[in-house]
Amino acid sequence: MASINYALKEISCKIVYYGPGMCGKTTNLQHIHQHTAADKRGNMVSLATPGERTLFFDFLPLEASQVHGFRTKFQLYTVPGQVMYNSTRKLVLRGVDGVIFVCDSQWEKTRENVESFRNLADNLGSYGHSLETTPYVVQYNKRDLPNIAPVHYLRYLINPRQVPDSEAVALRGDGVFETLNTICTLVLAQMSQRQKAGVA
Amino acid sequence: MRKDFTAISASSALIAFTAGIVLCMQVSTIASASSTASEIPGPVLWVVEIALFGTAVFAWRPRASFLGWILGIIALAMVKTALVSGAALVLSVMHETTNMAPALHQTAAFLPRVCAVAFALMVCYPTRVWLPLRETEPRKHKGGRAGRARGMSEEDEKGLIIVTVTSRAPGQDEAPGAEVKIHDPLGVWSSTPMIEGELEMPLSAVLALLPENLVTDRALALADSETMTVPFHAILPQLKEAQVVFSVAELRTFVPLTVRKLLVQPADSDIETENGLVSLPLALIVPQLPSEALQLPAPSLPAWAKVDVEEHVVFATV
Repeated sequence: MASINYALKEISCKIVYYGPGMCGKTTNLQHIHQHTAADKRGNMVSLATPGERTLFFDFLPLEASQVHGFRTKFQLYTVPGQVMYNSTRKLVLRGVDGVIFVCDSQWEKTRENVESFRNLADNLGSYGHSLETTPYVVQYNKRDLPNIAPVHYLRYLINPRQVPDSEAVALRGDGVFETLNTICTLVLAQMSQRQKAGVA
Repeated sequence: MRKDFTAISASSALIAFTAGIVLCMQVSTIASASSTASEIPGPVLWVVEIALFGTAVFAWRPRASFLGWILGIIALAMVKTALVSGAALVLSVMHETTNMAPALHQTAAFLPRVCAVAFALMVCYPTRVWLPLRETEPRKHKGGRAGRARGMSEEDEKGLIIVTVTSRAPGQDEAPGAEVKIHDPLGVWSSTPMIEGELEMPLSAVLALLPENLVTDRALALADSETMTVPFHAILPQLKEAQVVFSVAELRTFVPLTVRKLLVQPADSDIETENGLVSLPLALIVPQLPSEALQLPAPSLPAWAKVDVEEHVVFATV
């Protein structure tokens, strides 16, 4: 859950990168880590197997521009995509403010994308949240590969509600910051709206 | 009657039963004449027979339920007893005696029993399709590289059971394609558009997906020049699941007749193989679909997506 520290004039939000195994969640985070100013980010913590598979989660604290005079801090997390780590995924989702769902665009991964997206909905449900109340954006990653499904089919599968989505090549950094900016903006806007309504 | 228990199956069972009686009777006559066979106690023979029957039922139908397994053993024991009794009855009739006891004693000896056991197995083999199976587990996340990892707890798997392929829906008996329960976490889909038409797929690509034991060399040779047509109505309801799945038996109906004849026929194929599911490659299907097939529902953005954004977040990049 986002926290607002009025004394320090600071807003802190939690963003989670979600998606099937090997879809590029950690690559997104690595690119962000490598391309943000050193004084605006903390160390990236990554618990991975020797095969570079995320074992627990990746974590990157990040500071963005000021909004309404408040410093905005984002804690970026990734979940382990492998099916067997659902308990960890659920744990990482606790208190989430926004989700970036990373799709693997390859044909053979379409089914895994769908299953992972449903898993996201189920895991949010276990905390009493839903995709109706939690801001999320969809990133169609690996668009540079030859064996990819067209975006309109991926959108049909994952994003029929047509929430903000974008194509990306996380390895090159294409679309990485665009996706992050979008979700952060949506999270802050929702927070602002709730503040006005007196919810938060 | 089940489609996999054909008239051929029934007649072969009947022939085996008749031949069993005749052979059992002949063997008992020869065995009693030679009287060299050592007498093995009846209970020992029964135990061995039951063990043999149990093994046979398990080998025929590994997915049979416990009840099915017991029923199989009972059926085999009954057929074997019927063969021994039938042979005894024929012997009594031949000797024009009303007392069956000596004949029964003769046919229940070791060698006739072996013969009866062998023929009981032959008689019952075609009827194995009737044995009840264990309940099929729902399809679960295959997980690509990870698969269903060992040590995975029930809690870990929760939320991943999403597709249940069941029998066809009532009224859709003529429409091939396994019925797929659509899981709609967003609740945005109302119905699947009904579009007339069909798409073509290279037959060689489809045959490559079938179990090897079904595809003959002659079928493969023809496959390069043939295509398979699948009607849209069999595909469209499955598209939201990101997979288009058919059983082998259903796929046969799409294969051109000339090639279908060259495949191993259902009568010679194992029922498990026929019911096995084959996933057709989406890369060959989706590009052929008309645009209306993948039409999105009317936009229904959640409240958080409708907010007025006053300031955009900017990260200090290098």
